[in-house]
Amino acid sequence: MVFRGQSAALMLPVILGLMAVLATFFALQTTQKVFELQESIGLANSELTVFVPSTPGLTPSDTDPAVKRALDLLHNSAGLGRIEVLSREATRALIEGTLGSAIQPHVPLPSILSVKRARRGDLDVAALGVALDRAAPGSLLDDNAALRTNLQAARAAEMAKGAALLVTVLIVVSITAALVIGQSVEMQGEVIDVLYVAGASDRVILSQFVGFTLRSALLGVAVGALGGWTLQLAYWPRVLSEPNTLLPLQAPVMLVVILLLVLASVGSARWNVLRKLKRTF
Amino acid sequence: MDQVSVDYPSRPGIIRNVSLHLPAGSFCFVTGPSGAGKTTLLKLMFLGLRPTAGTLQVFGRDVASLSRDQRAYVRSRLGVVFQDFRLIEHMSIYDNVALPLRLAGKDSQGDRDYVRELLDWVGLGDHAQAKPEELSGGQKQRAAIARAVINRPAVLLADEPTGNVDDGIGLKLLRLFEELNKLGTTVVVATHSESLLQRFEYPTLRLKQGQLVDRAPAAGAVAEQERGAL
Repeated sequence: MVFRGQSAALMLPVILGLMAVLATFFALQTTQKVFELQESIGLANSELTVFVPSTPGLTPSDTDPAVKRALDLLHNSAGLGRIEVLSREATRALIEGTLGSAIQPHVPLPSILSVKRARRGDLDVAALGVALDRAAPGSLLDDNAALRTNLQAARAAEMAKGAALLVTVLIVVSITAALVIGQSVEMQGEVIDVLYVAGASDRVILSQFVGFTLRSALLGVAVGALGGWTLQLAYWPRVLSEPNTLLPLQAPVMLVVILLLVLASVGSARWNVLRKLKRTF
Repeated sequence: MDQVSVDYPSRPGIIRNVSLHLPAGSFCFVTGPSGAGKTTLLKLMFLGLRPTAGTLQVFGRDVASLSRDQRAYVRSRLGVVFQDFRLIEHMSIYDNVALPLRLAGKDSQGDRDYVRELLDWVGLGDHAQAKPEELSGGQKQRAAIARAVINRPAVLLADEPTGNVDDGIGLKLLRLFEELNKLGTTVVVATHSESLLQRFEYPTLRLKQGQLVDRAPAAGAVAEQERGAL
């Protein structure tokens, strides 16, 4: 090992480690949010909601014939799975969640049916909506299209935000690494001189210095990435309950972050050493 | 060198129109006051600097026409000794001396034996595992000389090799250079020590303000001054 950390160079793994904590945390945060949005989109895709207005004049114990007709229609429709009628409490909670708690107890609540779409099988949502309206006039079929659009937009925004944060961290890493490595190259100038006069080619000098940078960067970035992952784990402990699903998602993200940070450092080292060699000799 | 000049942006004319030819196997001194251009002249010789003007040939080849890899090969046939030793502090003396061999990919048992032989030759056989900071100035310079000659260079360039050692040690170092010269190595020693110069009868190239102004008895070296007092 010809090159060894000295003064400024010793800071390299520390600085890269701190950057790796940030980059990993941001990247995993983005992964988490995108994953959760994706889950919601999946849910929105798989569920339909049917609102059936209550038939006037019924007591709470009466079975609403409109609901029965809607259920019969749904049971006989292809492309649908489990159908669930929400309880009055669940319905009230859902509507209050949207309209606020100003709903009076005597106001008739619609019946809400939650319908799972079958994994396979085509479903013509528009035709089903028309059929439902015929079977139970005034009923409404919501296929969550607006929600899906919102969720998809949120997912795209989250991915863009995550990418921007990562790019920002990478730029900061490149600049910081360039400064630290530039300083290190100057401090190790005599060693480079010795290698040069000993007949080492640019390639050999580069490989020696890049090797030194690679070791420092790998050490700092690996420890930092672990720190970032631990931080994210504290923020999102669900990883522990679903390791088989979430770890395979996080591992490539972490690897990409580590790879990008190490590449930025090594690229900076190459550029600095080549600049010194070409400028000096 | 033919009409070679070197200008630094901050200091133009550090070497001015120097022409000289060093025959293979010769021994010569380069002298002159501080700032005369001795170090720069040696830097030109070990390809540590490009001439601003003029032609520099090493081993008969114009340096300007060489690729960077070819220049590295030329440098591998040169040995350089610096006044400040330039030993790598965190490496042992053995590893410092063996460095040029390792850079050339040589690390066989024979190579390792050769490093130990060389360390014995310069009197550092017992200090192979020592770190440079544990050695005296004279010992460090001997280690630097061993490193410079480990690749059996055709030319040995020494820049003020006795500058950081006392006269007695300086004399011993010069004797080492003489031994190498007898084995066929061309030796160029830059020094400002007049007392040292008087002890040896080798040609002396004298620089003043970047110009070659004088040469002492030319047994080996032939210096030509195109625009100077010579």
